[in-house]
Amino acid sequence: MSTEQVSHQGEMEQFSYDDKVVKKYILASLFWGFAALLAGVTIAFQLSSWKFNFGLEWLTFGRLRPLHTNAAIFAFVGNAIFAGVFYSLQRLAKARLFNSFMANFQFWLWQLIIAGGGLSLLLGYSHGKEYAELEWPFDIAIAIAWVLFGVNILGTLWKRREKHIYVAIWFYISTFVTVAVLHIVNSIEIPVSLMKSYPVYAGVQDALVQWWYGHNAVAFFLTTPFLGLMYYFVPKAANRPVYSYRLSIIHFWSLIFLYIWAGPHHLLYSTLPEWAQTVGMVFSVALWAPSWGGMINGLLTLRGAWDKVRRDPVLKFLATAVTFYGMATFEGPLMSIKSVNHLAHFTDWVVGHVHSGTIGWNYMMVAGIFYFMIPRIWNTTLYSVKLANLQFWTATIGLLMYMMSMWTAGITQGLMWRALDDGGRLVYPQFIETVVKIIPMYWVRAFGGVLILIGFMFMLYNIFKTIQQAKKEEEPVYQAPALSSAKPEAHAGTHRKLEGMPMVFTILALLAILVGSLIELVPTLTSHKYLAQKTFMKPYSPLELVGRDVYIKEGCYVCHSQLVRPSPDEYIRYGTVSLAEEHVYDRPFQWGSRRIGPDLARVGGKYNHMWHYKHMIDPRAVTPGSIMPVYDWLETKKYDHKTLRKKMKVMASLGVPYSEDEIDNAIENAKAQAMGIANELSESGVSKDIADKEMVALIAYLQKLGADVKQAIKDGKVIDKAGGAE
Amino acid sequence: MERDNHTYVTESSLACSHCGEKVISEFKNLDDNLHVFCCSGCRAVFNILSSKGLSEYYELKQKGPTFRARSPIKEVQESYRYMDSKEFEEEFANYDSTTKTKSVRFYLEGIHCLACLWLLEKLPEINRDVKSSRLDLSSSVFHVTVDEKSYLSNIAREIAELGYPPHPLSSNADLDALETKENRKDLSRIGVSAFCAMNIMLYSVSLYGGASGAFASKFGWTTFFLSLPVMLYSAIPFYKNAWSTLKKGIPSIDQPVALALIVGTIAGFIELLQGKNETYFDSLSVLVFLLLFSRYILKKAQKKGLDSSLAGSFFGNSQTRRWNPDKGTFEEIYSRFLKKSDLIKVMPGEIFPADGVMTKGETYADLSLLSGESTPQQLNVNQNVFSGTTNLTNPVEMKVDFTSHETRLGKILEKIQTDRSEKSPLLTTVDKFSHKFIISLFILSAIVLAINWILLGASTAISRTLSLIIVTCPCALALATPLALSRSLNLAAKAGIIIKSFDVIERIVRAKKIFFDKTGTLTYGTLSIDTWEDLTKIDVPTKEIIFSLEKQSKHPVGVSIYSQLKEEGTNELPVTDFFEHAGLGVSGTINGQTYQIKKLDQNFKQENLNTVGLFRNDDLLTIIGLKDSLRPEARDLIGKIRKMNKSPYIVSGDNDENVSRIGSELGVNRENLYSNYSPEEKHQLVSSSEDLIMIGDGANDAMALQKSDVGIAVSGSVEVSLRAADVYITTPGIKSISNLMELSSETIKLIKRNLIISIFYNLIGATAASMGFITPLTAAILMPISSLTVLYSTIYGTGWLRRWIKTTEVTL
Amino acid sequence: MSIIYILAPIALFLGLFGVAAFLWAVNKGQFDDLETPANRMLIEDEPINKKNNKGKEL
Repeated sequence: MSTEQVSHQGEMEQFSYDDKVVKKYILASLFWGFAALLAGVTIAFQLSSWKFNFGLEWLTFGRLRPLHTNAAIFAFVGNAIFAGVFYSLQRLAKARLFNSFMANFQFWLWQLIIAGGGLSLLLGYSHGKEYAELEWPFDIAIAIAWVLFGVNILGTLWKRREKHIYVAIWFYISTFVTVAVLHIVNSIEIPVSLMKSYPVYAGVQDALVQWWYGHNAVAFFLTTPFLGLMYYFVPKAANRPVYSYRLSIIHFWSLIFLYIWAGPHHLLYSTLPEWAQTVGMVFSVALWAPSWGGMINGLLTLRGAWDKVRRDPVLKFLATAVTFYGMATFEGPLMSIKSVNHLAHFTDWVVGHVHSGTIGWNYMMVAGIFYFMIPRIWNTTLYSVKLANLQFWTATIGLLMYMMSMWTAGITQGLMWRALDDGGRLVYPQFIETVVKIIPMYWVRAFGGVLILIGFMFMLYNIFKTIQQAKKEEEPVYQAPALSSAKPEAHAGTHRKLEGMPMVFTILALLAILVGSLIELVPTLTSHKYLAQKTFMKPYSPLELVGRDVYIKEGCYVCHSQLVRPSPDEYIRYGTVSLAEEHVYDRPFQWGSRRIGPDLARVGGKYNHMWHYKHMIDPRAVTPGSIMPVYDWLETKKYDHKTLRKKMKVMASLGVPYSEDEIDNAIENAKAQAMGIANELSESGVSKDIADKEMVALIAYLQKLGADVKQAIKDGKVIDKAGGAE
Repeated sequence: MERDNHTYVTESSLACSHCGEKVISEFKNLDDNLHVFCCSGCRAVFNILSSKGLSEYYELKQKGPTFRARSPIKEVQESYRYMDSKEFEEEFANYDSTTKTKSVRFYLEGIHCLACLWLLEKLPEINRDVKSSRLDLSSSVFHVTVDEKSYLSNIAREIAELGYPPHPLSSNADLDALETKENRKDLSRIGVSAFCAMNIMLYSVSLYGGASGAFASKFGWTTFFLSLPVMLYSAIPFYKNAWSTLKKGIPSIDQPVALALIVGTIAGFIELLQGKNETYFDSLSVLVFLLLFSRYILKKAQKKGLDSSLAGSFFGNSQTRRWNPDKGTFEEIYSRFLKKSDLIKVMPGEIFPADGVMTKGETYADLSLLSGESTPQQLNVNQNVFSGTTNLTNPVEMKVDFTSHETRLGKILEKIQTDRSEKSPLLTTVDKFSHKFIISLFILSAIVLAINWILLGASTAISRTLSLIIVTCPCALALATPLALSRSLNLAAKAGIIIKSFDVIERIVRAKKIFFDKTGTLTYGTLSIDTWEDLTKIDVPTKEIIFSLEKQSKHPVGVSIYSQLKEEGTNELPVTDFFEHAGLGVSGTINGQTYQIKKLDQNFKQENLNTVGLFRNDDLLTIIGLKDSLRPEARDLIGKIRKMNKSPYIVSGDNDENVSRIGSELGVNRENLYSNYSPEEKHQLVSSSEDLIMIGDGANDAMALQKSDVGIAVSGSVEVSLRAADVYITTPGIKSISNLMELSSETIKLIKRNLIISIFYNLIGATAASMGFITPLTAAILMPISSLTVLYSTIYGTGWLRRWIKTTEVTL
Repeated sequence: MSIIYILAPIALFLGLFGVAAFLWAVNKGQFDDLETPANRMLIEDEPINKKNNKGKEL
């Protein structure tokens, strides 16, 4: 890596761009992209037919789906962001990357996180919070890599040779700052062991923080950096200035000023207070304006260049990406409106919306900027334009199939759930009826996914051939006059140079303060003051606690929700409407975001242990037509009781009222409860040594769900009625 | 380059390889002659670019966007050496000792596309002395930083060679520095108010959504603390404006706004103290943000309208050759640094920079700037010369007596300046109306406050009065008039009609009498061929002889004859030993025969035409009658003026018969004609009557234009007429005057419509607010809606405006 | 819902950071000329150590 030769030939400085690290990120993004899409296609087929789980523990849907989401977001899109940002930032700032070593270190750290994280997910180490499933060591590593990324952006800016900071760079800066804060706030967790930790927040609090992170990870990881890339690559590819630079400035700053609260639109009709839900709804709808401002600005930049869109694959991808961005950001606010949300929540419509954003906007954008960047930095021309167009059409058709099938499936299932006949009875009382009905849609979606994967493979081949024919050339050297103000004196000491970087210094200081204050502030606030009041809920017994961890390990929350919403059909189908108090000890909260299987909030005591046992070994034996994978290894794997006492101690430190002796004889307590369950199971022919297996722990947890509420209603502490219980 | 062999091809479909314009007369490139150019200027730039390896310019130009029609490139004559003098650098360059550089700002002509930006910002690579160069496309201002020791003149010449003649902008133009500082302050205020308003809305929506108990009070206090920066920082302009107008006792629209802000904040604070949550911070901060934002947009729109007019007035030649006694040669200095009793040399085609006495040579000068008559006057040794007049034929020398504002022209301009300040801007009808409205608003809100306080208690009283004040805040009223006016100003500027200030439009509509100056306004002002009489037949067609002879003549008559014959496409014959003697005509030999064109004396005059004759060794061949003919569009302009029941008058320095001839042709009745009027007499005539418009030549009718209610300058130099007249028409002829009339009456119609909308809105708003139907927040949202409706009605405009915009493809 | 006492300050904190950055940008003159940057970014600076024009299709 030739460092930048800053030869002071009068004012005119010579420098060259560090495109090597960009090349690495591009290749990494393509590699992981393939893995993510492959996982996506597999889980699509697993939903169409359960046989595609192949009965293997580490390939079942529960663990593969988190791998797909994390790989797609952080590996495929993440690497592409780093490539696009480093490429465009250097050219916009007319300066070499601040520190190439740091960039490369960040690259290898990021790939390590992906590989290690992916493996840990398959092995069942999940944190239980959607899009943040990686355990605490990876969280720390992600934070480090992300800060390195930020320092590189701001450092390059500090050495820039172009006075004006183009709007795209502002988007990159805001991405760095907000994602850093989001990730840190959502990853405050207390480790129990190397690969297990409990979040500090519980129940409703955890839900709000999770979806404040969840939505803004979408907003500030999948959208703001891509808006920045749009403002750079679309004008470059169309050779037209952006439609209205003034509009892009207004668009950016209005987005940044209002650091939004759109998160709660994932929690409408949950036990979140009414006013928080209203705020979430109002501001999600308000978000529609800046998003469409960005889309209009992007599309109108192509005025007068639309004929080129027909010929040039780069423009074809970019234009379609911006259109899908517009569509997704119209569909989103629509779905945030409470009445629409009541139909859409927990159904496949949400999955359709997610993929119109991720594939329509991100995948297409990535393809566009790669086809733009690769010929330039490898100094060659694109191998085949026809192949790129072919990829475009397969991906678009695949995506349309995906979206259409998910809309149909989502709305069908939503309507079937809520259908009441004139006598007030459920038209489809058996949940499985609503599942079987939409399986054909899963097949259509799966083939859509295959098309997208094939399109991606065309790109891989196309890029491979493009790079192959690249002519080796020594690194181009550019020259530009230095900005008199920002020129670092060559001899200044490192600290003075660091101090001379006002922006970088303030950012790092701010982050340090933020992390510091959070770590002290949060535990105190969440644990004592707010949990002391008396509640009818009893904390989880040791066995139930282990059972809950098995529930999280297998990713049951990916298909099952634990939240009964206040509407007649859910009251009839599931039982008492969920109360905020119920989730007071849930660390992490497991409300879930999709009902592929029925809601489990009231499953405690509904079926006997044997039913659950048979259901785990072979779900179809109990509910014919079920698409639930087989979990027979639960019968053979022992539950981990060694860390049980440590888990109880951590929970106690977070305010769960476990007494001292409960913690001391936790293991005996768990064994006793397990033995009770094992005895009942053995009456119907199950061998007794099931007693120390994960199956028993899981059954103990499942039987606890909703049990306290039923008891409370019997004792009259809670009045149960359709509209909601208090 | 040796003599260039340009061949004359009449109409060719080729496009100039530099600027892309259609090539009329083909200039072939010398070395590879496959490039064709429309003029030598383009060819020069093309050669420079290719010699410096910058031919990527053309690749970029063809691909990149162009966003303004380009102006033709003039051959580089100025040497800009005047920029090297000490005084020039003091005033125009500012030094930076740390980097040992100096920076200058130029206004560049001909900036029109991405390639210009690329080329000019590549200057540091072409010229080693240049440290950095930055171009602002919207204002065509080019900021160059160069090494301390380098000469500004060769930087300026280099830029001119690239096809962008530079005009220096004085570096300490505090007007510009002030403007950017003002703009930044506005932006910061808007930014802060936007942030606070949005976040206050966030917490207010939670309160509306039902947050209660501990959360409610916490959110209440958060909104209070968030509203402080808005009330204490962003809203400063409102308090300042309200206070200054209050001191002068004139009501202004900022007073109710300031009142609402103060009352609302205090009331909200008291509510919070009592633990209740009936606060108004959301509506007040939204009000401040929307007001600041709409005023910012309005100011930008207005500035764009006026800007495009003033940018053009930087031209005029800025260098003179002064005799340097010790060096013994003429050296070039910046004309503003001339001092008394300097000896200067004025070349043909240049303007006399100062008053003084001729010391050597004799020439023809165009005194139209002062006397108003276009026919050139003869000047010979120790005759008085006045600044502003143009030297036509030969180089002469003169001794300087008076410079800058002591000259005759300077005195006129100074007089105009003082006149201008007397005629303070009339209070238009709207301002008067809005004052009455504001006073009545105060009274009404006092009454509403009192009644509600007694009947329904303090908090409802306050909230109703607040919403009353906010909803009836006369923003629509205040916005209606300036918006319509600034839009019309903007449209006019785009169509080449530069209107100096708002109230001009209203005064045009009110004017009853319209005075026309004859020469140059109603007529072309230059003599054009009227009759052509060949007395004796000779072998060579007389048209070609005259055409070839007049080609090199600098005399205005010769030039107009040549241009008319050129349009007819007469071909040229080679002329040898051509000679032009001032005032007597031209002579030259064509294939052996010597010909002469001379002014004929009185007796050949047929009904008052001036005539010119072609002689071959003094026997008369042809007589050409020349006439100052009427502009074709003059007749229907007069017709239109009569339709608007305004009466046309003609006043001119010309003699009676000419004036009456033109008067009868246009059908203006006898008693409205005034002839033999000197500029001073015109001034008297105009100031005697009320409500009148004077249309004339910017220079010589300057005083009359200034005195009349509305002065419209049709021709004359930009600088002089812009100072004197209220309106300056850049397009030739008087066609756009009818557009101006139409535009003014339509704008007033538009203003009336906007006023009706805003009054109607205010009436409903006031009643609804005082009866408590709308809360302060809905009021704060309703108010911008009213401004938006007014904005939309202005943009929608009237039928005629829309048609006019389509015809002149004028964009907002 | 006590978590609001953490999330709200963080949201405000980030917003304030946004305003600070905005004011810094305004005073650094980033918004003085909003027409040229959109065009200036289009200009591809060509390298000085390679005279032949790279085959980049624009």
